[in-house]
Amino acid sequence: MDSIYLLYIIALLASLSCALSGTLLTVQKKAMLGDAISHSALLGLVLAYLISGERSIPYMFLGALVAGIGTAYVTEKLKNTLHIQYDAALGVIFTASFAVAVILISQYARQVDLDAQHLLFGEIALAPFDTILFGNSDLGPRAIWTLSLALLCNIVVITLCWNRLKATLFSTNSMQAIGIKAQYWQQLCSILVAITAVSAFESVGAILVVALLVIPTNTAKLFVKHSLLQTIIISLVISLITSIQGILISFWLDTAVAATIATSLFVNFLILSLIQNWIYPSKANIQTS
Amino acid sequence: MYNLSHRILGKYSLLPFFFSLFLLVILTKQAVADKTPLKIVATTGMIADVVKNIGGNLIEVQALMDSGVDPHLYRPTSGDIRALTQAEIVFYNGFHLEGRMQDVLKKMARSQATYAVAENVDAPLIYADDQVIDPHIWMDVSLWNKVATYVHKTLSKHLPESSNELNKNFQAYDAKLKQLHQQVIKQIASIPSKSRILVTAHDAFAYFGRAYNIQVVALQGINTADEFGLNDLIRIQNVIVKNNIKAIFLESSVPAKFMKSLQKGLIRKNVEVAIGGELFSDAMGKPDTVEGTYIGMISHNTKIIVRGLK
Amino acid sequence: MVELSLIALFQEPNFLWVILGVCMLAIATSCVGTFAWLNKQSLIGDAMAHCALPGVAIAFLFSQSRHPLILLPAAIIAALTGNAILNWLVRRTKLSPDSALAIVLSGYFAIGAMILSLIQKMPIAGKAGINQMLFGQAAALDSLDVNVLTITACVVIFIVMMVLPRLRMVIFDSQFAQTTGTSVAVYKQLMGVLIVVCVVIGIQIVGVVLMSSLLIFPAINARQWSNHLHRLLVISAITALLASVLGVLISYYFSNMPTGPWIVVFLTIFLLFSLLFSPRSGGLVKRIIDYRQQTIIHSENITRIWYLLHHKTDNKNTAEFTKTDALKVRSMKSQTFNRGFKYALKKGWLEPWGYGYRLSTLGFSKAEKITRHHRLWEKYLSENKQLPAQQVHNAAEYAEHIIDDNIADKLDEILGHPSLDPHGQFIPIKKDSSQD
Repeated sequence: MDSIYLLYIIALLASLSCALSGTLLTVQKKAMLGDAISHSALLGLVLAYLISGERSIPYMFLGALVAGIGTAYVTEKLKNTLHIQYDAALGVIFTASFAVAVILISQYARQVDLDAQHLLFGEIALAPFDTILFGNSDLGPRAIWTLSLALLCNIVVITLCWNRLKATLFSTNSMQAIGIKAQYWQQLCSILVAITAVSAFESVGAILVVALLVIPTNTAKLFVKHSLLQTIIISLVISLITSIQGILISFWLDTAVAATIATSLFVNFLILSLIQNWIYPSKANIQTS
Repeated sequence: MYNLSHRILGKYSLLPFFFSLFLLVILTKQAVADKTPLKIVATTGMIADVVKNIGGNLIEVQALMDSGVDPHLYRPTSGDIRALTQAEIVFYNGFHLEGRMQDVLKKMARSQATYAVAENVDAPLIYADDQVIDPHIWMDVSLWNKVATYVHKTLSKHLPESSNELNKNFQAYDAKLKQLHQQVIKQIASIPSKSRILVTAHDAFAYFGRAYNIQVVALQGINTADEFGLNDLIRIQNVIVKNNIKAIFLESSVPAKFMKSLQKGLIRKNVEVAIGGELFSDAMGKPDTVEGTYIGMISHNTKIIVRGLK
Repeated sequence: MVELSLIALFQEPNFLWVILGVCMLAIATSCVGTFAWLNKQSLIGDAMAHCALPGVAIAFLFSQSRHPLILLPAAIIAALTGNAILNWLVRRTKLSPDSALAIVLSGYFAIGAMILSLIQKMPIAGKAGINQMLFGQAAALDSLDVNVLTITACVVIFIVMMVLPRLRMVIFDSQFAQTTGTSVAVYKQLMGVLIVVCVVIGIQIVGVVLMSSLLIFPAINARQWSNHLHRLLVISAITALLASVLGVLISYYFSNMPTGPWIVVFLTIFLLFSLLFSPRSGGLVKRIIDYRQQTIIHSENITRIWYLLHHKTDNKNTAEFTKTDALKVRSMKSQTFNRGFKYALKKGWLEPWGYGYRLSTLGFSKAEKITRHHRLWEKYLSENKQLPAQQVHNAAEYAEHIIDDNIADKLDEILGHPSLDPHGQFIPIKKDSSQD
C-alpha cells in the first residue's frame, strides 16, 4: 500500500486510541499523566538496555511500557494511600524516575545513544516503513499492529465496563466518596492510558500523544455537557478530522508531521474556546479563587 | 484529439502519426534516461560530500541532515521520507548514528538499494561499550577513505557504463583524502607530546584520537541524555593543569556554557587556558563554505586544535 | 583524584559557584513552589519549560543568534504568554486546571517542534543543538549564574514577604479577601509571573528536572509537618537547601554523578521520610497504630468466641476449647487469628487448660462486657432505627469494641433495661465495675 495511506491509517489509529483513553483520563482530572510517562519512560529505556544489553525496539518498547505502567500504578497508589494531590504525586514519580535514569546513564551508559529523543518527538513519517518481518513475509508497519491492539484494548475495556466506569470515574478527590471498588477502576483506567500512551509514543511521539489524550476531549467538552458517551464520540470525530488537517498542513509546509497535528489540535481548541466564550460568556465561569 | 484528427486527416493517416509519436517518445525517454543523474539520498552531510565528490555530475545527491544538523537530534519530515522513497540509492552511516531511523533504513534495504557505509568498512572499530560501536568513524580520515572506496564500488555497480568517469573522480578524491590524512598526522605530531590532549565537550573524537595519536578527554559521553557532575569537571581541570594544556574546545552541538564554566573556574585558580575555538563534531559547517565539506571540516578542526595546543 | 579535605573544597571556584547558586535557587524555587502547590499547579514548572521552546525557536529563527541575552528573554516572554493563556482557560472556560496545563504544555511544545523542523531545513549556521540551549546543567554554574540566582532569590523573597499577609488571605480565604477589597486576580497573577520568571531562569541554568523537583518536593514535604503558611515556607526552604548541599557534595566526591539528579534523589529521600514518619500524616506511623488497634479488636472477638462456646455447651464445667473449635464458630484468617489469640493470652483473658484453652475470670468478665455492649447496641438499632436483624448484628460487631461502659449504661436506660436482644439472647447484666 502506498505509504501516504499508511500514514493516514497510523495517524487515525493513534488518534482514536488516544482520544478514547484520553477521555477517561480527563474525566478523572489526571490530564498530565501522558506527559509524566514521556519523562519516566527514559528510566524504562535505560533499565531495558542495562538488563538486556540491546537497543533493539522490542526491548526498548518493553522497557518504556513497564515504566509507563509503573508510573500510572504507583502514582495512583500514592494518591490514595498518602493523600497527596494527583498532580503532585505525578511530579514526584516522574522527576525522581528521570533523575535516577540520568544517574544510571552517567554511570553505566554514557557512550550508548539510546535515542530517547525518538520517544519524545516520534516520527510518524517513518512509521509506514517500520514494518514487522516474520520469516520472509512483511507483516506491515509495526505501528499499525501496536496501535490496533491498543485501540482494541480501549474499546474492550470501555464497552465491557461502561456502567462501572460511568459510576466510578466522576468521583471527587475526597477519599470518603471513593470506595475500594472505585479505586480499582481508576487504577485500571490509568494503566490502560499508560499502555495506549507508550504504544503511541513509538510511532507518533510524546508531543502528539499528550495532545491527543487531552485536547480532543476538552474540545468536545466545550459543546457537550453531562454525557460521557457524547463526549467520547465527539472527541473521536475531532481527533480524526484534526489529524487529517494536520497531515495536510505538514505536507504543505514540509514540517514534522506529528508536531503539526498537535499544533492543529491546539489552535483549533483555542479558536473554538474563544468563539464559545464570546457567544456564551457564562456567569458561572468567573471564579473567585 | 481523436475527433479533430479524424476530421482533418482521415482515419488511416492516424496510424503513421501515432507510430512516429510512439517512436519519438521511446527515443526521447532513452536519451532522457541517459542524461538524468542518479538520484541519491544520504543521511549525513559528510556522506553526501563523499558521494558528490565521487559521483560528480552523474549523480544528484541530497543530504537529509545537511551541514549544521546534529544527527542525534534530527527528525525526518514527510518531504524527507518522500525523498528517501524516491531515491534510487540511499547511503546512511549505521552503528545507530541515525537512531531509530536505522531500523527503517534496514527494512528499506529489502526493496531499494540502501547501504550502511560505516558498517561496510573493514577496519578495527572502537567499542564504546560491550556490544556498542562508536559511530563517529568520519573522524579518522583513513577510515573515511575506506568509506569512499566502498561508495565508489557501489556507484560503479549501479552505473557500470560510467565506470571511467567514476574511476577518475574517485582517484582524484582518494588522493586528496590520503594527502589529508598525512597532513593531519604531521600537524598533530607537531604538538609536543605532553600537550597533546584534546579537551572537548562530548566524546565524538575517539577515532580522531586513535588515528592521530592524541589523547581525548570529554566532559560528556555520546549519549545525549548524559550529564556531567562536579567531580568530572574538576578532574578535567586537574588534567589541564597537570599537563599544561593551553586550550580547550567547544562544539557546535553542545552548549558552549559547559566548557566556558570549566574555563572560568581555571582562570579563577590562576590557570590561563583559552577557548581554542569551535570544532565540527557531528555536523559540518555552513554549506557553500570550505568548512561545509568533509575535507574542510577536518582541516578546520586540525588547524584550530594545533593552533590552540602548540 | 579530587581533594577530599574541607579546605580544598572551598578553594574550588566551580564548587563554590555551584553550591552557592544552587542554594539560592533552592530558596527561591521552594518558595514559589509552595505557592504553586497551594494553587494546585505543581506541574507548572514542567509546563513552563515546554512553553519556553517556541520562544527560543522563534528568536533563533529571526535573529540567527544563539546568544543567551536574546534567547532567554524570548523564552520568558513565551512562557508568560503560555501562563496567560493557561489562566484565561481556567478562569473563563470551565476547564479543569490539570487539563489546561496539559493542553498549553503540549500545544506550545508542538509549535516549538514545528518551528524547529522548519529551522532544520534552513541553511543557518549554528542551528545544531538549538533546543539544548534552553536546558542547563547544575554542575556548569559560573559566577554570572550565581549573581543572577542571588538577585532572583532576593527579589522573590522580598516580594513574597511584602505581600505575605495579603497572599495568605487570597489563598486560604478568598471570600474574605474580596470583601476587604483585595483583588484576588492581581495577587494570583503576581505569583504566576513570579513563578514563570523563576522557572525559566532556573531551567536555563540547571535544567528542567531539577527545577520541577525543587518546585514540587519541598512543598509536599513541608505539608507533612505543618499547615501554617510561614512554617510551610521555612520547612520547604530548609529541605531544599539540605538536599542541594548533599547533592552537590555527592557530585563533587564521586565521578559520573551528575549534580542535578542527585539533588532530586535527596529530595526524594527526604520526602519519603516525611511521608512515612511525620506525626501529622505519616503513613507508616498510622499503619503501625492501625495494626495495633486491629490486633486488640481481633483479640476481643476471639475472647468472645470462647464465651459463646462456653454458653453453647451443656456442661459448664468443662470450659476448655481448642483453637479449631473456635475457628468453627467464627472463621478468620489464620494469621489474624494467631495475632489476636497471642494478644488475648498476653492480656490473660484466655489461659491454657486441659487439652485446649479456657476463659479466665478476667476473660469471662471482659467477654461478658463486650457481649452486653453488642446486644444492647443491637437492641437499640432494631428498636429505634427499625433495621433488620442481620444488619444490626453486623453493625454491633464493630460497635462493641468502641462502646464503653457509660454509653452502655445510657443505652440500657434508654431501652428500659431489656433482658433480650433482637435475636432472643440474654443481655448480660452489668457486673460490679471493680471486677474490671
